[in-house]
Amino acid sequence: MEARWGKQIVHTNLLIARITDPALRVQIERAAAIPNSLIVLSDEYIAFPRAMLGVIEKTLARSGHVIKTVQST
Amino acid sequence: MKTRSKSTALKPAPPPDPASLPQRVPPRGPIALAHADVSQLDALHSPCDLRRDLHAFVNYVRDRSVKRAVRGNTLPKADAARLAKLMSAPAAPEEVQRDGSARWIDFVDHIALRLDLVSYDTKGVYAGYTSQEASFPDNHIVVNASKYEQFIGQTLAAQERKLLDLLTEDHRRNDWDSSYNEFYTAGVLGRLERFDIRGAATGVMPSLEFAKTRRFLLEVLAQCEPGVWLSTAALVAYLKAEHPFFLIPQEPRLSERDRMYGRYGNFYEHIGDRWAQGVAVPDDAADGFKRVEGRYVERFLEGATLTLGYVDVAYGESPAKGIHPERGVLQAFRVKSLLARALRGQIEEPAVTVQPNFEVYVQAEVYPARVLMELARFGEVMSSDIVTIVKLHREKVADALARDEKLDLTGLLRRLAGRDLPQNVARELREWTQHSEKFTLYVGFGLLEGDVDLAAADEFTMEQIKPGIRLVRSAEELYGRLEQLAAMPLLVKHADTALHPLPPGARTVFPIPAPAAPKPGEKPAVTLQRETTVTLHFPSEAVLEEFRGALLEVRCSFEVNKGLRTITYAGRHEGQVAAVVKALGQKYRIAVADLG
Repeated sequence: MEARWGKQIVHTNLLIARITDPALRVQIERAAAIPNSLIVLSDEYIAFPRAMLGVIEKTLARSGHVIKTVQST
Repeated sequence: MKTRSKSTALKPAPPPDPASLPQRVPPRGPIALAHADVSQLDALHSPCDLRRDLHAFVNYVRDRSVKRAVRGNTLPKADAARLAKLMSAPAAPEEVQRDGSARWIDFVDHIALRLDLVSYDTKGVYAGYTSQEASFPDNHIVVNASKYEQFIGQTLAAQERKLLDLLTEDHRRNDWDSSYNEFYTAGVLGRLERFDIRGAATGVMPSLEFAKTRRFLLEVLAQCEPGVWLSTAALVAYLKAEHPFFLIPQEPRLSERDRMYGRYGNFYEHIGDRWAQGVAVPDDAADGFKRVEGRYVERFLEGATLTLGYVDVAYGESPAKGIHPERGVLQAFRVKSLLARALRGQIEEPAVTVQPNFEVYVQAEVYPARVLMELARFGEVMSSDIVTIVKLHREKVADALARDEKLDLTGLLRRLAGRDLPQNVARELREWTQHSEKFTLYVGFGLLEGDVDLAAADEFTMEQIKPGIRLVRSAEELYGRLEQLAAMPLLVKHADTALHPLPPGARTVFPIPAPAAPKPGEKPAVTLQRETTVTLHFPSEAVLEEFRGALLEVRCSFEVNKGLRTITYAGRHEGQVAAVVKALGQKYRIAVADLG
């Protein structure tokens, strides 16, 4: 049991985003430079808590980007 | 002259006898009327656009929850004020500020209701035995979306026909009502005085066919020279000469009771004071036609025709001062070519042109609601007139594309314009499409950090972010599945405001807090994580094996030590173990005793 513990982790209640523009990703990372507020999962994916969405929306609006939303069904 | 002062009981009119109805044969050729000089007159070109304002009204009430006033069923003042800013009537904001409502807004509201584009209660309830009038509690305006879609989905010619039919139909507020016509009810833009309502239900009035009369007059106007000011007196003279019975039949159908009224007996003129005792127009008066039909024509011109923008009108001083209702005041009119095309169903669909500077020109004779509604999603309306200009905006286009993956904007614009788009526009639109996909937000998903080859997670996986990290649907259901497989999963529910730190030892890309360095002289802080495990000792290997098999069936995680004949499990699996004990209770008398 001890050997298996902590190897499969399911995360809930967070938002995940895919950013295909590296420059935009850098802008968002800078805007969300608060501890425990954003995690880079890969070159294109990030995860962040729900409250951070407002900050990210502002950054997107400033740079003229929009959010394409995919809802889980 | 004869006077009428006694009131008559209101009764619904019996159906008219066709033989007694006027013959209205529309003129086939042009009608030459004398031109009018309007330099000394007050010319009125209606600034109001009913077609545009109808859509403004429907869109407004769709976007907001508008509850009508409990008393009077009117629009709330705050909503009327906002609507006044959206609508085309220049006087509406001031009117709302002063009176709490505006005639034009109320009219648009009324037309939207009659077109069935919106619905709300119009009857109300009487709140108490002594109530003087109906109340309208919680009377919200509801947009009939399917009816609205159906309406704007029609051709512009069909939409125009529908409006024209509505404004010229013989609308009665109830079976007994004969007063909702030009004689007694002013048009929304009308200025002229009306006849005394006292004669509205008597004499010839209940038998008159106003819808046919209006359509006949529209046909007459359509044959008049367009674009020039014409004399209203000349029009009345033409009607008297060529169609003297266009409104009232030669032999009016009168009931026995109303026979004494004759032809004009219920049209009262007031001399001097408007509220003085009325005097009926004599049947044998030489100028009877001018005084009754002439007044009707004036009021018809400032009614539906002016409201729909088919004519301009010009007012002067009344030649017969002191006589009410006034006559000869609307002295000239100018017919627009739109009238003939509306009547013939010849209003063309809007012409759309996409310019290389991303401006879309929409040219239409009447408000092209459907096209503008589609284009407004992608840009900003720069100007709105016969030609409406919509400037395409990258952000709006990207936003629309982000909301609707199937949207083909290039195809839509090409279809509307009927030709290929300018090359630079087509190229930019392609880039804007890519722009809409630069940031994709996944809402309601979870993450799984785990083994690369975890087959149980495949059906939950939306994207493989990188080896060992998956974007998953139904994360909590996946957790349950992994638990059943004894994969010892860890469920992390992050806070809304911050990512939850993971415990030391977890295999994760999420931060694991390092133990805080103690300040000088301070003892280091140590957090011990506690978990309770339970060990069951079995009296024989056979019972142990049976129990182990049952636990495996319910997919419980546990450890077996055959040498010591023990099974150890985490406290959180107590429920599954209890179920197994209960199931085996059918075969054994099981007692659980704690070791000292």
